[in-house]
Amino acid sequence: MRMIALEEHFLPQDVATAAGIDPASVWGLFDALGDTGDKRLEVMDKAGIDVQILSVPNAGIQKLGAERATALSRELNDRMAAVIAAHPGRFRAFASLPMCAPDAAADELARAVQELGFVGVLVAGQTNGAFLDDPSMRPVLQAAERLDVPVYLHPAAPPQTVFDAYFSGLDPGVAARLSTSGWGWHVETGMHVLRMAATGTFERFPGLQVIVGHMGENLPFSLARADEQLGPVVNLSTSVAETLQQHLWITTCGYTTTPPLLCALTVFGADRMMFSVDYPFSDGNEATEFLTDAPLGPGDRARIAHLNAEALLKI
Amino acid sequence: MQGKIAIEEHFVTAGLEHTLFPTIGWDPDEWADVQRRLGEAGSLRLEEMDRHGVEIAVLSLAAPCIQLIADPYEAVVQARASNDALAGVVESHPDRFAGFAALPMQDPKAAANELARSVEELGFRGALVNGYSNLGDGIAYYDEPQFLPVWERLAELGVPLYLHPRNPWESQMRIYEDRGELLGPAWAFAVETATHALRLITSGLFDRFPDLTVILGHLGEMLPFAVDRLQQRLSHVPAFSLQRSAPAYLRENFYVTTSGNFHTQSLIGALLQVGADRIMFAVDYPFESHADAAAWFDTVAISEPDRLKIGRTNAQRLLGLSPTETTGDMRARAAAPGSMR
Repeated sequence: MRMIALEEHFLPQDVATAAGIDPASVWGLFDALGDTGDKRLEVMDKAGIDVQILSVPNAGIQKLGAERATALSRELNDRMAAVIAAHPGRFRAFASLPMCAPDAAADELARAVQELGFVGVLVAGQTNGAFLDDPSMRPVLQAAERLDVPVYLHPAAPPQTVFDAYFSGLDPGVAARLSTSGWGWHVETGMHVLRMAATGTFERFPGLQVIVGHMGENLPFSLARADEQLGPVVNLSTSVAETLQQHLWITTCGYTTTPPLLCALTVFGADRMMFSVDYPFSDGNEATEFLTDAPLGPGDRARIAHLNAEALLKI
Repeated sequence: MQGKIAIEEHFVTAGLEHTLFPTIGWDPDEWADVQRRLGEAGSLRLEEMDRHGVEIAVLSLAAPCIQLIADPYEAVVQARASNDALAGVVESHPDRFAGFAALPMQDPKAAANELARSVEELGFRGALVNGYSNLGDGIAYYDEPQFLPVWERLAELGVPLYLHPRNPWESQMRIYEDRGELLGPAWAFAVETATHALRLITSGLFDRFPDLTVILGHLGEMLPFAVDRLQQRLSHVPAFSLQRSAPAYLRENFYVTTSGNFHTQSLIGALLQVGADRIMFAVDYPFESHADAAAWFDTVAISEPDRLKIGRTNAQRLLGLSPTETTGDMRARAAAPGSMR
């Protein structure tokens, strides 16, 4: 069965060093992250993954100022384009953008999509405190809508104030994980989407489509309650739940047990779900085995494995 | 949910009333009401549909009707008459009703011809048969070789056969002795129909005609639940072999409907076994009420896209129906892969 994975990270070590990215933040996996083909393809072939959509977890770049962030984003996008060109049919990419310079980001997104053939953009968390509902972010969302490409909203480490408020008094190792992949950045990402819905961002940009990973960043579980609680206080032409039903896509990365899958399936449906691994932070074989063996009808399995991605990303 | 398409909705003609399955023990007033509704396809039925968001009902004879008629010639005559009557009903409200043909399986060649007539001349969407057919003193199940002409014609025409229940034959009645409450839709219907469907599968019918479609009501007569164990055990019998597995045939050659089985656990089980693509909404009117069916289905624990598929678009596609486009249709088009807006 064809499999397309959408949250597959790329970060060359030289660029990471130049950007001052802390190796700990990427678990030191520079070999895998920086690999431009051979190691990736070996992992993909072993797991049965046909295509990786590359992206850069680029939260660190946003702190470098507009000029450096823009230059580094261009460099990263050119490097991803080279990987794509070197291995036809195996890779596509979500653009890395200087979100701290939204107008430049909009321009770079246009270049990435129109000249490099990229299929969307990956945004990692907040941009210097701004969520995507912030007015400053509008040029990027407008560009994505105009170019008809989705925004993959990826987690990022929490602001220091949040870390201090929620994760102090813990062993450093526990704090590091609990604030990120163990819990914290997933609920933050789900919250980020709810912020967008609640502020009418999807009404301002009706064509905007957002993808989140990790079986929906807790949104499937909590959608009905969030919808009920937010209903009386939001000013939308439809409901929060309906808004997400129309604008949100979910990838499966990092969640390889059945109960969350069934939750996403019965809340959002297989039409809105797509396979991903989160290379190199999750194991490709585990991910593909999980989807292959999951209790799904064959039509739904194929949609999740590749059909939805092919249609959404037009690949 | 508005715009639902319900595909196991029964009627009976005056001439066939005496062939309805026995309703021993049923409340007589309730049964009188059911009979009244079986004979009506006008404002009473349509108002029920309107009240509960059913736009189109695909109509079929109740059970066992034609299948009970032991004389093949009589079966043919009655089937034609019934199909003509149904055609008249459909014509009276072509935007609200569609038809599944009754087939006189007692004469397979005639049944094949009646199928073709029903589809090509009367505009019906497929056929519905009520289990095995009486034939002289005995009965016949449709995996038997004499029925190949019917399956051939179904495959040629590309229309489905709805295999609807009837009670077991007299030779299977010992287990129901003194337990008549287990007959009919309470239990015996499902066992009989599931086993008949399995006969079709294990006879290799779907290897011979890989594009055949059979529809089962009542969320698949328990087959989604049971088919994995069946396959597991069949795999221990080396002499027995088919091209595909039993679960694969269920997924690839069958659809299941919700008729008379408004049960969330079973629906989710079917969803996980055959997928939302292969499930369609039905009420089983007038044996079940639109109110019960809709109250359950409209809010049952599935995603909205799957509700739209099961409630409408699967049937639309399978049966070639063109209901009025609703907001839901427009949204389904917008949300479907291939379109971002």
